[in-house]
Amino acid sequence: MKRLLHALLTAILLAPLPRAQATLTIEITGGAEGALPIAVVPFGVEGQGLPPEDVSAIVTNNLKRSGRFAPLQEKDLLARPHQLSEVNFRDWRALGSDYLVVGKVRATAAGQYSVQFELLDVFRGTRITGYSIQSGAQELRRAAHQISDIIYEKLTGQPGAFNTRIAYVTVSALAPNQQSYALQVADADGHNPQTVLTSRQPLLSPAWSPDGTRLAYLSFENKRAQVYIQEIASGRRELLASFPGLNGAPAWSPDGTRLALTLSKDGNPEIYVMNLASRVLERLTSNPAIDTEPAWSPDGARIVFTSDRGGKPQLYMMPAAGGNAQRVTFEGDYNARGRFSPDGKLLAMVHGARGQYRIAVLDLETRALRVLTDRTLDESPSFAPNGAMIIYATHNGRKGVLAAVSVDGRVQQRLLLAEGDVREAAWSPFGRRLILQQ
Amino acid sequence: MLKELRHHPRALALAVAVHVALIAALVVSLDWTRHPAPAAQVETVQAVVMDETKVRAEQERLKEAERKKQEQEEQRLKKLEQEAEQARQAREQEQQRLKQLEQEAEKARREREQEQQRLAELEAQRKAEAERLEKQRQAERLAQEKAKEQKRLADLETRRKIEEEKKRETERRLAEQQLKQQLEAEEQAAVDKARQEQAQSIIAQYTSLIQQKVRRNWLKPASAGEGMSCTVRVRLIPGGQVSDARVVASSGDELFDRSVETAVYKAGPLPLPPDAALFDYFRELDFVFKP
Repeated sequence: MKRLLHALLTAILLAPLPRAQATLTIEITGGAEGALPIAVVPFGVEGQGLPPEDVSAIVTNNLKRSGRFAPLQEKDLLARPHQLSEVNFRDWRALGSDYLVVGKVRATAAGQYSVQFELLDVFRGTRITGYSIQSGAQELRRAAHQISDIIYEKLTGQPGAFNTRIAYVTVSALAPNQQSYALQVADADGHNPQTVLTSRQPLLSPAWSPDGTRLAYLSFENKRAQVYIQEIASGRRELLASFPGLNGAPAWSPDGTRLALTLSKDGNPEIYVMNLASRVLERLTSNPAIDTEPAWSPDGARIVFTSDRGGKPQLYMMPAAGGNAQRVTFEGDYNARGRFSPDGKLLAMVHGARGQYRIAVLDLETRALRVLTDRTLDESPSFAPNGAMIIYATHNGRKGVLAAVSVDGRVQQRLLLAEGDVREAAWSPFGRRLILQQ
Repeated sequence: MLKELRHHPRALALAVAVHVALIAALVVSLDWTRHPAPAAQVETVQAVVMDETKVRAEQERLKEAERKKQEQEEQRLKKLEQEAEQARQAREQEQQRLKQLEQEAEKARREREQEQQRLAELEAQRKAEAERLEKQRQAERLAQEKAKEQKRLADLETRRKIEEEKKRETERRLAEQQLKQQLEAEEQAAVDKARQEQAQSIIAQYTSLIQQKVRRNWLKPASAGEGMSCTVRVRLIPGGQVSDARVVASSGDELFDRSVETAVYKAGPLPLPPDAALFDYFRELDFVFKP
């Protein structure tokens, strides 16, 4: 006992300072919300012939445009490795890049390329993922978008929506009081614009079929509003709705078999659903007020629409088969053009208050409304298929432009899709994917 | 000779028997030789009936023969007597010799007996001596053992006393030391307390600096939600560089966990107190990240 005591005393005396009893615990709360620092090294080029597209530049632009990433400027790159084995992580740590993308494009045959890339974790010194994609010359952009999607998904936890397209309407003045309208489709980054239809009369409300091959839209080409469906690849189109009165606001059901429409053939604008195979119409609303702008929930169970049955335009929700409609918006004096997020949890809309029309999202669970934009005349919101961004039309001076905002409002971006006056945008579903190899 | 006889009593008996038989034979033969004399007288009687001259001559011759015969007889007798005498003498000699032998045997026996006795005595003496010696040795051994045991006991006692003394001394010293140490410890504790208070203040200051730096470097992912928490254990090297960071309590969200690890790596080198003695407090840190 005494010996023990002695040992204890000695131990106490020998220690210069009482030792830390336990590991010091430091709590970190808050944290910044910002773009992830990433370095995309220009991809190496191997084989005969320069590839027609700069894949790494497309990736860099995509990541930057998403607002979630802050790619290092090319002039700041310390080294240009093309694969993991060539990377000295210390260099990239010094630059403060959390992540690094390296890769190369190899010409395998005439017009055929193999694109390899690796996504690396700089601070851990590890490879997060890496693939090889076989691509034709015409599909190198798609390959670059797909790489962007993979990086985006790995680092944000959400699927990327770079391999998508956007449909929009441009307006150009041919002469005073004479305008030309064009329905166009371009890659989500604005490249490869393709004119689907031109008209001297207004074109409105383009809507993508769930498989991304067709567009439904509203055309005044016959001096009255009619609904058409057009196949993008072939240009083949058909007139779907040409009832007396107003025909408008087409919306595809999630399974692509039906189209919701606004028709006033019975005297008052009401919501109808047309079976595309049988062309049979079913009326869903019956209200002396205006009911318009229907949209389907992703599960196809409900339809949201705009109605002024309460005096001012507000959003209402009803079962897809029709029936009792419940009002869902209560803030502001104008809420219209409702659109479900792909997960069905949010509702995007044009929210008007005190003469300002902005894009807002309503959390259907908490009923909290969040205004995402700060301009005065924002309209026609459309969710990206990954649910991260909302594209909308707005004005820059007197000119219509497209912009996008992240659903949390953190990221705002201008989309420079085309010259001229742009309006009425719709984001496509996910595009076709190339085959990946590990 | 005696020894042999002693060892062969049957030979001795045989020898004695032979002698006795010989002597007996000699005595008998002596008696027997005296008997043939009367037989010669019978023959002389028969010769007297013959012619005078012839008888005379005969007588003369007879007389002569008689005389010769007598002489011969006498001579023979004499010779016999002599032989008898000789035999007697021989016998006497033999008896003498036997007697002598007997005496010698007797003497030898006696000597042997004496020798045996002497030997027995010697043996007894030797035994007695041996016994005596044994006793003596035993006594000596006992004495020795006793002495040894006594010495051992004495040694034990001495050692016990020494041990006891030593123990008392140790205890005394220990008590002194303890007292001294207690005093020193109290003194040290006072110093330590002051130092520790100062150290705690420095530690708190640097903990706050570290916290700020890590927070500045934390890019929260969009997936970070209320109620999420991730604990990362970080090892520092004396320059403040992060040598190792690993999640010890995951948030369940891969991106969140990764953002936390990246934050601590990026925040390095972390600010550390200039007093290297305080490094121990910062060698290993747990960061709990909450959005």
